[in-house]
Amino acid sequence: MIFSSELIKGTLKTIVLKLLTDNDKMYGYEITQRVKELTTDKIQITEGALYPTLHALESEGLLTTETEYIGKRVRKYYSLSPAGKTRTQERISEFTDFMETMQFLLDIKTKLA
Amino acid sequence: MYCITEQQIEYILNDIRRNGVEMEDLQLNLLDHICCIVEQKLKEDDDFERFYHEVIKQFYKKELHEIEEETINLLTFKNYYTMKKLMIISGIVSATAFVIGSFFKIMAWQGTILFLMAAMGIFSFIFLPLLVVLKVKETDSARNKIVLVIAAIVGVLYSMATLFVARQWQGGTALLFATVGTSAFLLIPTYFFTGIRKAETKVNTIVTTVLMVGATGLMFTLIRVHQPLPMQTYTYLKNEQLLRKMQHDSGIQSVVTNKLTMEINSCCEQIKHIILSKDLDEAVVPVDFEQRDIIIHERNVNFPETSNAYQLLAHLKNAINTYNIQIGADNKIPVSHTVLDIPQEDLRKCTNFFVLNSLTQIQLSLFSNEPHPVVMK
Repeated sequence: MIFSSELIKGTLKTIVLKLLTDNDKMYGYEITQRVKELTTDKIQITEGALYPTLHALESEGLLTTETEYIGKRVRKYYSLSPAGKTRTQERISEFTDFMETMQFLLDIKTKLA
Repeated sequence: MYCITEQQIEYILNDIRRNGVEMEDLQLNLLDHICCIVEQKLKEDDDFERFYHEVIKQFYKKELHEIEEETINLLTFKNYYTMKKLMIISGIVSATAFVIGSFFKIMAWQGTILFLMAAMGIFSFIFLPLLVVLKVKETDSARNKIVLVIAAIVGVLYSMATLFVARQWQGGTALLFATVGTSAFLLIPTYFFTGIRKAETKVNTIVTTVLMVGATGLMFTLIRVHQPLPMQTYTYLKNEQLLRKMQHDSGIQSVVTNKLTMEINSCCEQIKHIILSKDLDEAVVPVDFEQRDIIIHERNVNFPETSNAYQLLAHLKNAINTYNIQIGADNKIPVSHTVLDIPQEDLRKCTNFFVLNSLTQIQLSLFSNEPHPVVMK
């Protein structure tokens, strides 16, 4: 099952920030592939959602960038800024709270490991 | 892994640009992304162009530039609350400056124009643009967005036209014409044909259009379509020429022998210099004023605090009083309804032409008395 883009939209920033916490620097294509791989294709980030989000995070000062020339094309690597690192923690704990609330609200029984 | 060629990279970049993606950063991101997909998934014997067009289709719903629009939306949204706050603050500041400036104007206090200029500047270049950006973002229809932008342009033009006309700066009338033209031929038709199509906005559109036509008509009524010839300038400058001719013909040195006449003449000249230095680049009217198309605009006389105009006028008044006591009844310098008759606090209500002409007439009276020997009592 592939999750709908509506569900992913609200969490895309958190996903990107968390990925960059675990990896020093990443480029757009790499991010989409890593998410696909980690979620066994359940979450597929579209290019139309990823790049606007990356630009927004950069303009908020949460990401820093560096470019690398590969022949005639330029690859833009994204990494977390110090502000980005703090924000990632905040977003993850906010999302954890949100999940707990949703579990309670929708009366979802937590799966036993 | 497929090895992408430089021509293929060029092809992809051109296609991205052709499809309306203008942000360079985004172009390069998309280019690298597509190149990665091509390198990973295209087989050596596959058709590159067909594969590329299949891949790029997955990037959007209708058109590729949606990605750029979404990017801009996200970037604007980040600033949305700051912009809204700034819009409200600038609105309050400009309204306050308008009220204070108007009060200063009624009281005829110094600094009126500073408040009014600040109010118009903030209103036109901060408040209105922010209002339009935020409203455009909230509006879905492209036509309504166009109406909003045109309305803001008319607002800025009107505000600037008012400022230019009030300050008698060059181009004030042209700006007023531009305001009326944009409103009549662009704003009103666009607004009308946008709103009239929908049943729910039809009545409101008709009423607002009538109001807009009325407002534009009133504005047009205020415009002087045919500029009058600058007769006041000619009258004053001709008087000034006559005075110079009389001074020249009589031989100025021999004429101003009397200390009192010298004083009166000198005071008049000095006050005129103070006024003219505001209207002309030079403090004396040049001889070739006609050839140089020199025009003095009518304005209220506002002597700077630092100038000694008030002392000079007081001194002139005393000197003329003494002169009139000494001279025969037929040759007295007329004082009533001249600048000498105006109390100091009312001087700023007088126009520059009134004061200039008064002073030149005093000098003319003085010189018309001169050829005959001064009869002392």
